[in-house]
Amino acid sequence: MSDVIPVRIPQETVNDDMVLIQEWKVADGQHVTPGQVLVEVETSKSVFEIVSPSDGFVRLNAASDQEVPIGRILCYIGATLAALDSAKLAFSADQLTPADCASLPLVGQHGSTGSTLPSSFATDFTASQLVDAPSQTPGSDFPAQSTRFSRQAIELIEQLGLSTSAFSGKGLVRREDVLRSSNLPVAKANVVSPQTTPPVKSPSNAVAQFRPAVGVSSQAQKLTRSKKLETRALSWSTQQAIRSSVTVSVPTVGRDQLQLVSSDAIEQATANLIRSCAMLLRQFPLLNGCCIEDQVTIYDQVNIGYALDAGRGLKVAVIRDADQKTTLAIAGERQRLISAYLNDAMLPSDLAGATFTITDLSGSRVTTFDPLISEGQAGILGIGGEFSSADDQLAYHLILSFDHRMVEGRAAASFLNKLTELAVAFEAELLESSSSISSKREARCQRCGISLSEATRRNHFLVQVADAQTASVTICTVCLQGR
Amino acid sequence: MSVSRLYPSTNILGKPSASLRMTQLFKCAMLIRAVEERLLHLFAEGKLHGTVHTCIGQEWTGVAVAEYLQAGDYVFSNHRCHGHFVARTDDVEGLIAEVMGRRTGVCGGRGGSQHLCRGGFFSNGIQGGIVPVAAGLALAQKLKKESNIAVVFIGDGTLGEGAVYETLNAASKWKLPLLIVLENNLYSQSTRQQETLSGEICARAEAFNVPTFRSDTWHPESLLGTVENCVASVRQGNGPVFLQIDTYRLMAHSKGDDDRDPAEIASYNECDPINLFTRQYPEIASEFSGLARTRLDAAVSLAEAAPLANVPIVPVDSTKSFPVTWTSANAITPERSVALIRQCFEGALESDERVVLIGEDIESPYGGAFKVTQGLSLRYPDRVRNTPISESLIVGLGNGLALAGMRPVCEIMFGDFITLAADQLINHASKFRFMYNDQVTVPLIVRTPMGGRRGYGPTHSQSLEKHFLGLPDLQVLATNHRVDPGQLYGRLLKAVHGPTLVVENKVLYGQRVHSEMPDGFALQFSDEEFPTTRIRPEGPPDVTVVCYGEMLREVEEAIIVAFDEYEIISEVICPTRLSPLNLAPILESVSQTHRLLVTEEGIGCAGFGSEVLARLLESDPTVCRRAKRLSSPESPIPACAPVEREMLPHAKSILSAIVELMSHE
Repeated sequence: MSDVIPVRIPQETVNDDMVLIQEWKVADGQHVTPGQVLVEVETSKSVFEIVSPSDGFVRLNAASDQEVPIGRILCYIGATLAALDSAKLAFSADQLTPADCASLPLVGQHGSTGSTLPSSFATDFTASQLVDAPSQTPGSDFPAQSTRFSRQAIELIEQLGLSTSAFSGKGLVRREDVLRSSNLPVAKANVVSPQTTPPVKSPSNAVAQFRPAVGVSSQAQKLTRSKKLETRALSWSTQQAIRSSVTVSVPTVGRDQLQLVSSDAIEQATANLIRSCAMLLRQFPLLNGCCIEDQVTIYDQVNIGYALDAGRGLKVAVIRDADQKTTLAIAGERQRLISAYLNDAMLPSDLAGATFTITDLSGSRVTTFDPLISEGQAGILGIGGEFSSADDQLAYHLILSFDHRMVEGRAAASFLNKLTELAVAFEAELLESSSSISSKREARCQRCGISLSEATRRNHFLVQVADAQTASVTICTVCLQGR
Repeated sequence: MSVSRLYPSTNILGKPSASLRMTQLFKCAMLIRAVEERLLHLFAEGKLHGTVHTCIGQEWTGVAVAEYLQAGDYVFSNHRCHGHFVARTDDVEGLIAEVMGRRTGVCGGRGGSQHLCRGGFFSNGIQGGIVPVAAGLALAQKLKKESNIAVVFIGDGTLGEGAVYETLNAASKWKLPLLIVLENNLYSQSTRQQETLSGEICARAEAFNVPTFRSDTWHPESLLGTVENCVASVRQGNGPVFLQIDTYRLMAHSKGDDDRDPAEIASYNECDPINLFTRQYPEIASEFSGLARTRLDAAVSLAEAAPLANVPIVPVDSTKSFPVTWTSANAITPERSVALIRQCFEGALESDERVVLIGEDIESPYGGAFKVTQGLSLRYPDRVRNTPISESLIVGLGNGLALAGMRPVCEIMFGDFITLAADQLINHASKFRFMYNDQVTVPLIVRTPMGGRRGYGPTHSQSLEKHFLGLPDLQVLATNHRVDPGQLYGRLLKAVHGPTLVVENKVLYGQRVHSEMPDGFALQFSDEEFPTTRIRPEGPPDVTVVCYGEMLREVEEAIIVAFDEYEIISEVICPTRLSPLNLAPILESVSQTHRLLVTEEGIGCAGFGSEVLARLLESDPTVCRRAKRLSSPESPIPACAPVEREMLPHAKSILSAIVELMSHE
């Protein structure tokens, strides 16, 4: 290393930050002697010569006609060519120091402007994205020749899956311009403090509300408060988390078969899934947490939120410490919560504090869907409706949506595989137990307790209320109509 | 010196052979005295404005000097100028009307007693400052290779002014055809010479190797001979001459400020040449007095019948706005600012012999502290000149050159030093055209680098231009990295302009003037002679940022971040001409944004930003809802560069200011 001497551009005048390499007087690899003129360099004041400080071979590090900052390494003088070759890598890092970056041209993409700015600023300018110059918008007060996106606009474009090229010729594109172009409501701009620029905007912006169809008569009404809360919780998925998902197919004997095993076999299977999930979250703690900006939080408890929607609004009932409860206890608690949901008797404590969410569409014909991660969580498990696979094997999907900042796909897949094993094992257990338990309990309305036979006698029947995203619940049509 | 010694022992007219000529000169001297006495009378009658400084007792200095001047010679006189003026121009009527404030006065009644101009005669009421101006007139004569000379009249009191010595030094070094006539009347207003003057008067000029002569007004014939020799020497190109003429003012300096010993005054009355002439030749004197009286009666009547001076009409009303149209910038090849200026001057020196560059260290090989003039003195050695370190002299020479129709370009090495030339800008350049009633133009260009960010410390980093804003007739331009400074100078040198101070931020010299723009912003120029730069965002602007000079670069950096990170769209208005300021481009922008940030590198109190805000408010009190000034704190600039950088407005603080403006909605 000591065999190679870097030759830097000296500060020749007080007025120049940059100099122009005018003409090299030596060729790359040429042997030079001390005092030999290496290069002519032009400042605003004059042209001056830089001479070799020592005897050796020269390796050029700047081209003719190039404008380079003061202090930059112009070339190296090595005792031997071999020394130069071996030392080159060591020096290459020096070719563009942070100080150089700060003095690099910032305007345009070609710039030879040599403007300087604080180094902390330098990176900010990379936020702008270049799009091919469009034709000028006719009649515009601010005719655009180019396009520039704010950082927030870029982020939103990515979230909405749009292409920047769609904005060619729009000049300065802000977040609200992106929203407008997608017919999304535009909130009043908030100026964020200069110190932080959190990407999370006010939640009211978060869920896109499309405009009603044009030319169709309609009535409009405000979103309910609960719907707004739901919106806030789910906006996490689009605004904050980096979402990814994995899906596994779980073989099953089918709900009909389970129903034959016992009237509460499906209940038990569901409760088991909740419990298994909760226990696995202990093994995958990062899924039982959240990431806000650059801070990762892991929750001490495993509280499973169970999404309920049976026509009374989407609610997430919380089963606390689900990893420490038996399947039976979970089934009981779930029953209590469903009952409370249907009677509008849920307590605030029933709804708060979930650390992970399960959304269950197993009672539906929906086989796969895209669960949205709730605010402050790292994942959500979706349970799809059963379907027949190609070989007539019944199966259902488990879908794990997760925040990629917390866990990777590999861990998520591992989580699902283990859950699948537990689910399949539990089902097998149920089937096995059915052969030993002969008594088949009759199905009853889970609300008023009337049996199927009694209901039928009264010209009513039991139904499984299991529309989108809810747990299925068996109630009689009396209760169904009377609520 | 004893009074008795001053008495002429012979006939006041001197040798018989000269008596006829002497008699005619006494006629002139008596006319001057009659004028002065009439002015005192008019003053007592309340018919004059201000005051008059009469030269009663000193008439012969003007008479003697005028006797040897030729057409094309310049005279620069001072506050006590009536005698010099009448002797040189014989325009009694113009003088009377002028002092009476009439439109028929020699300066339309604008100048009054101390500010006269006719042909090559000028006077100004500033002690000392007129001397370098006269030297500039002389330099013009020399450059034009004419045999004309310039004369400047000063008093012994003026010896207290440094500009006298700056000029003596340079005039001697450059062998300027300048005759400095010092009227030694022993008093500075009411202060006796013994109290304020050390050493010998002539010794001061001799120290600069300037030949000195001494005479007095009590021996007119001898005085004439001395003046003749002096003028001849100067005219022959031997360089300046310093002529001390001892004399005595028989009346007060002005009014009510005469505390001299009455006996002393009486003794000088005894030996006064006009009094002697009147005693020795009463009939002739009576005839001359009668002629003078008749002429003055008519002059006063004419003046009294004439209208008062015009209400001053400022050619560019500083409070008026001129709408502009905008055009997009053509792509230009980036070029260093310093090279563009140099190329312009090189072309101007080549094509226009009136162009003269003067300043400290501007000759090659040094070529100026910022290398603007490098190489030019090799091709134009007469017109690219190093000066002593004498800023008052430099700009004074420029003023004189400009009055003589040249195109002087003065370089003040650092803007901080402009204070040393402030008198030349404020009391001379900015006054001449007006107070000489538009008889002259002052195409003076003063260039100077202002601004910090180089770690040069408290006295080499300031932005002092605000002190020169709003001076009548003086336009102040500021270059930036978007406007070709060569083009600005080209326009200044081509058209007839008044005095112009051009602020070149020192950081700009090595930077390249360019038209490249960041995406989303367009570069536009107004159609003004000195175009305003507009950075036009390609979207509706939220805020207007007004700046000038090197601040434009900082502002451009800030507005990009303001958009990228804060979604604030800024429009930038960067005037080139700071004074007089055309508000229209700013008003146009603020009418859209209603928010304004004005930023300047200097201290903001009573500065450019204050002026912009005041003008906006006056023009439309509702147009601007939020406004902010961003400038340097009221502190000297530290030499420590990083601290300095934090102190001066910079991209980050501009960004903060923009964000703050927007956060108050």
